[in-house]
Amino acid sequence: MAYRLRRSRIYVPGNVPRMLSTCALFGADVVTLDLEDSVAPEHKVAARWLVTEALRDLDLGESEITVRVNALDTPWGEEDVKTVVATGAVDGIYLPKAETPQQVVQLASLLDQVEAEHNVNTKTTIVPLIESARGIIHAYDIALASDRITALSFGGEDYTRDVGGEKTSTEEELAWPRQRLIAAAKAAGKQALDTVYSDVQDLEGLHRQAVKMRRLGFDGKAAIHPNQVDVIHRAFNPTEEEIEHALEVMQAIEEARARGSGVASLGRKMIDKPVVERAQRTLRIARLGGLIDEAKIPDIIEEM
Amino acid sequence: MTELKREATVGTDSKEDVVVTLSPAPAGSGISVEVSGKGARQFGEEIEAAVRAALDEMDVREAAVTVQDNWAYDFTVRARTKAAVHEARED
Repeated sequence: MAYRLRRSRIYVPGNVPRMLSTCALFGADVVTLDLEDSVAPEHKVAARWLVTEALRDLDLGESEITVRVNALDTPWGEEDVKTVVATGAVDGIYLPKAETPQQVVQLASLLDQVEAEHNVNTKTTIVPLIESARGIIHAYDIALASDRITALSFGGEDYTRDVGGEKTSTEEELAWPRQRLIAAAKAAGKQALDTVYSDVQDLEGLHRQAVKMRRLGFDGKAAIHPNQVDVIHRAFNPTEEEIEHALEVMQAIEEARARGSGVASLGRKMIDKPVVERAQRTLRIARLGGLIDEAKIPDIIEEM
Repeated sequence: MTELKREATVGTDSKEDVVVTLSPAPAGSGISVEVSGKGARQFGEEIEAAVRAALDEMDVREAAVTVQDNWAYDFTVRARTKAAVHEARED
């Protein structure tokens, strides 16, 4: 599956028409129309229709369009999947409270069925939301449960409640599950997406935290307010220095190839495989994020 | 044909939303749609068309519908109408 930017992912409550009609303007890499936690039980059916009809009419721009359905063991989950996927306008499904690979397999087989019934030609992707102790323990098996999975996404609020922990400003209670989720996702060849930053006023705090999450290995972070999107992009974009360094690495590789040498170096440092892979990743993100002149990008970033 | 068993009201008075009330109508009376609210004068016909399209998709042939609009887009009018059908057809 081609690498896709998922720096920011904004939740849009599924039962608020004004949010649905404007969400394309938020500029997020991923838009998640939410039928789960932001919708009260008595409005679940109305929200499902609203999201479905919005998907039929609205041009949601270049964002990846996803829907967070209700869990499949609730009275709404299965019908949510059937109705929204039948529109043919959904790129992916966020599966809440994922705790076992079987839940993913069940969703994947439901998607097989709905796509066939409604002639949906694209393969709907799945992102399991890992938000419990059980989910974290099974994260690697969950990530491998279907080739539809593009990423694992972490839910910090629910996780903290599930383990009986307490939310702190330093978020030390989330350190281990975050790192475990990153390792599980990456070992399975998937992206890792971080939980929300709930103080929508504190954009500096969000930026600091998002930079830290990128350094840990996350590919993106969820947003709950449009103002958070740009801040998250800034945090997950490579810096100018990183892009420059990545270009130098790739140039050194090309020069070594031209010499017929298998060994490249930059200054006095040998360039080994992890350095090349990091440079390739940096340039891929830079290209997709429009941060670099296309002509500057060496062809070999997609090789090796 | 979908039979409506009771009255149902769906939607809110928030901006860009619409409140749709759907009631069972006597056999043979067809569909009646009454539009009021902010966009009624300018977009009354479009709103009525969206209601009728949604009822048609849900196979409803007899119904009395009132719509209180607050500048809703067509997708919202259709969605609220369909959700009202969903509720009205249940016992």
